[in-house]
Amino acid sequence: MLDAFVNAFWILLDPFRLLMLFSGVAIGIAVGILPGLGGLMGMALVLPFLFGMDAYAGVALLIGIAAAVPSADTFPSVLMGIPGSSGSQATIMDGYPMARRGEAARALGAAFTASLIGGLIGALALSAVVPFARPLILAFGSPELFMLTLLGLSIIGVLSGNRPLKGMLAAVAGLAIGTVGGAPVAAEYRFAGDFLYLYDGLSLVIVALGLFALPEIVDLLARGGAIAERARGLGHGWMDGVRDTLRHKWLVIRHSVIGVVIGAIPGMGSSIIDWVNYGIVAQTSKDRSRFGKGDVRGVIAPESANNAKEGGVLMPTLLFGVPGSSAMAMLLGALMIFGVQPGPQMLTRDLDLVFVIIWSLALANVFGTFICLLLSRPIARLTFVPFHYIAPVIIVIVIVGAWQETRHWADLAFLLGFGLLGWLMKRSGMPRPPLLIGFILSGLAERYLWMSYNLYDWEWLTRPGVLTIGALAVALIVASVRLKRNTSQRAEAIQAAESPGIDKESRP
Amino acid sequence: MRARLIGIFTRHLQTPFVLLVLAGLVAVLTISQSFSLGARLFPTVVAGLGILLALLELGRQWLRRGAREASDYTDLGDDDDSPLFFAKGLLFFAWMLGFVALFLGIGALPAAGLFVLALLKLQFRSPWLPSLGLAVGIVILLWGLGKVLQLRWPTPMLGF
Repeated sequence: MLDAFVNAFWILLDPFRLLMLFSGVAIGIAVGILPGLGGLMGMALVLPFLFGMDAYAGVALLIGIAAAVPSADTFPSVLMGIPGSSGSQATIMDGYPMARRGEAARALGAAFTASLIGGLIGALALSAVVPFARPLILAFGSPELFMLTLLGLSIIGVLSGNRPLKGMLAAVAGLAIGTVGGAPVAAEYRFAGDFLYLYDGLSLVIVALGLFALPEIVDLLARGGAIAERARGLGHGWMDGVRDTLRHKWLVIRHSVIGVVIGAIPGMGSSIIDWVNYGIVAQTSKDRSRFGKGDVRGVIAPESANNAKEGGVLMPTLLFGVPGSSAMAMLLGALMIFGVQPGPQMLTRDLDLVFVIIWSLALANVFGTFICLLLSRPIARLTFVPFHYIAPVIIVIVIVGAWQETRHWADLAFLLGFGLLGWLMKRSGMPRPPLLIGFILSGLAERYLWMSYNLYDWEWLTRPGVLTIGALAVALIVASVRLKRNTSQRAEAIQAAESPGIDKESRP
Repeated sequence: MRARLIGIFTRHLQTPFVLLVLAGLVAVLTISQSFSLGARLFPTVVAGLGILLALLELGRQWLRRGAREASDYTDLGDDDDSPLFFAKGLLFFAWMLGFVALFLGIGALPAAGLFVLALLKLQFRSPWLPSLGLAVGIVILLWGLGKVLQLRWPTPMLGF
């Protein structure tokens, strides 16, 4: 195990892989600072270009994006009071008031340092879990793995958006879409008719780009105007911010650990993590009078948790093959592109790759923090560029990327079709991540179901492991729904009470 | 007023959407019955479960008809959902469709340059200099990407 850990580090030090990791971080920063875009879209954008790359370079690129977004999304939160992504909403509460009184640099310095430490704690926690979880996971049979896949999907469906039924319906629709093409366990083509293009099934690249890239671009263009009004200057006090974080080291550690734990629950991570941590720090501090008015602790707590959660979301993803978030579903999809079977097999056959992912996470956090700190002024300026200058470039890259998939006109037709579907889902309040995750897990779930049925008939449903996982999942869903509801109510109360200067309507 | 409009519009869209999903799942269930057991098992389980969920969701919507859907505070996409916004969104999909037609018709590089220039000039009324600069820039970027990543472009239908 230790050999694989050290070996993975040397594998990642290859210049091309490091370049890919660095490119991923740069892309992650670019999409993180543009409100409305996010890690998922960044990962979707690079998916078409992964073909031909080795798996290590490909995952380094994707992890670079995933790890850099939680750092970069702090820019718009602090400078403009607009969340860069859903995980940086609570940072606004104190980061924006700090910027308004000329302490933006201090807030950003504190946030980036907290993000760095949080990200490293997340990577450390992940690497510590792998050796302990390995024997347990390798003892699972196909019925237990099927239950894990299905129930992971249910948890994501229930927790995505605000309507559990809609989330689960979206997940099931994703599973159904994944059945198009050749059946994995029988020599038969399904729902393809005589259309040869569909014999290999729908491509992850097309589905992901359609569902997540096009709707965001269309929404931002339809909204019109610049991404944000001109922000205030950065001011001075970078080192004060760094010192603030180091002074509150126990706060950083505590919230990083909370971030890892919540991140490890599939579907929970990005949606509530910042608010949970903001609520905790505001309620457990002796002096609460400055929260909402520019208390640096209100920046440090959510930011450290937001980066640490990436280590958490990778736990179910790498150990069970159940994606901890929609971005991790994209990573699983990419692993399949490279011919790697996600799930427990990874811990035996591809242990090097697991540790490359962990090292990539740690190094991406370091790169991301230093880039954000060193290039903060030009990066901050990017947020003032009107989106209609950025959108055509992204549209062209999306369509060119989709074309590379099979170079068939149907690639582009399905891209636009899924784009319209994703946009309608967004407009009708139907969460999109469960659909993508269902689509990605469809083949895996079908194989597990078939093996379980073949080996045990329907009696696999009564196996103790299956029943235990089922009971655990029900308990987890109930507890998570309650936590999410309480957090939602608390967040609304905090926003109403503590943010007189922030207009929620103006947020994208 | 705005919230009410959003509520009405979202409600009107969500029921047809669930009905569409339901129809798709019924089709999956029906068609899959002609497959062999190995190919039939998973689609049958998935479609059966999906139909149940879709009916429950339709029931929920029917019971809550007239009530405003609570917005999800975690969703960054709680944008303007007015019919005007919807029409604007469809317009941008039409722009993309136009680009795809150009892409297949005259080739990737000229299509990219023309699309960027047309979108910026006609839709956003941008000044000539940044519009031309961006159009030329995207053509050079694609040409460079094509060389480095060995991308392959469509053979233009119009033979350019």
